[in-house]
Amino acid sequence: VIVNQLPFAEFKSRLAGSGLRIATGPFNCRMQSDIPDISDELFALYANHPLIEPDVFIDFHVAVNAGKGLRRWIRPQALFSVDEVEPFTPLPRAQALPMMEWGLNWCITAYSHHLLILHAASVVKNGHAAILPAPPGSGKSTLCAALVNRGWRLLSDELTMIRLDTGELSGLARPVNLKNSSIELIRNFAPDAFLTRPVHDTAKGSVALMAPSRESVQQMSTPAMPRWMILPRYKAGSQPCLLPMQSGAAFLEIADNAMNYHILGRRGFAAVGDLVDRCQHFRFEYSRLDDAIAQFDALAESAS
Amino acid sequence: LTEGESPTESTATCYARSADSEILWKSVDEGWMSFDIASGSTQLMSELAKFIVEILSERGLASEAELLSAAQLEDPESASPDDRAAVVAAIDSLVQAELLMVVRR
Repeated sequence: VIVNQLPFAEFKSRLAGSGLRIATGPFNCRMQSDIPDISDELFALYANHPLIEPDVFIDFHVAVNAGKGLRRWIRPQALFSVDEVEPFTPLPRAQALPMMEWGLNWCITAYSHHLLILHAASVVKNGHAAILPAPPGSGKSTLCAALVNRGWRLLSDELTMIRLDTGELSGLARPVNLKNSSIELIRNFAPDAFLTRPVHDTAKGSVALMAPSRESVQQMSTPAMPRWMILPRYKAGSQPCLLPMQSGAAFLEIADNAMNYHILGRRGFAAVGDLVDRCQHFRFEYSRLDDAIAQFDALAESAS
Repeated sequence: LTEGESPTESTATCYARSADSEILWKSVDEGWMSFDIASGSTQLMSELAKFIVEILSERGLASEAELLSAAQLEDPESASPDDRAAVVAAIDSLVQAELLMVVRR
């Protein structure tokens, strides 16, 4: 059973009550919220995710609830909790939905040291995965959203998870976090994609979430082998340019973007080394999404 | 060292590994990645820098001249006047990365 097979009233009731139990790749989550404003968009974002039976183990029990006391009405707040612990200061209630996503990302990063976790997007075509690690503002999520709307499968927009034993990438297929001008850009580029209403004045500026494609969710349990590590950089007016990187520079970039590299120690060094060996490495500069997609498609074609 | 004395100029200056910790190595296009288990530090190193770390792991202590001599012995036919500068640069990079420390013999 998937989320959108539930009547919306039942979805709302579970979300506000005992929580919505869903699978997101290798993790089972229970999401709960007493903030009714987020339920319609959360329903659309997770429409294709499978529901989890009541007796199945849950990895993360997360909730975003309204502030207590007068905070329910005066400058209303949203509080994130995991296993009933509140690790963050509250945010304005308008940010409740992105807070759920950011909170879940935090849980995965903080507790999943059986995997190497990169701050990177990852997408797949023809069974080969491209990893896109990049600093904020590089256009990583915009490019990821564009690729996913042109036939690439989404593994993850924010957290690329690499198995330590096999080197495979696990999929999460969770919403893509779009910021500022990329929101309108993707709205126009992919009019059929579901995007939430923008939430303004967050720490990241204006934010909207894009639902993962149905195919990405349906295949989220299918791992993929990494084939390329591509550092994207949006530069207005530039022609698409894919520049090969040497493996030492690539190693340093990957280690810099690995959230738990130091925690993993010896295993982290080995995992990054394996990843470096498996991938071709590039710096990629682009300005037009169609050009970027053509370049990625050509890579996928050459690998096939 | 006395004030103003460069580590690489003093004949009494030697080098040793900063700690007795294990270093992991991974070959890359530009040379070697090193990972110091104790500090968690990751560095991109030249072939020569790796060689110096290995020599010091074996000997415990060596001067710049001894390290230069050991490096030239590895490949006597290609020894050149630039070797000293290369050894000094490699030592500097290792000291900066805190993989080596300067000691007085």
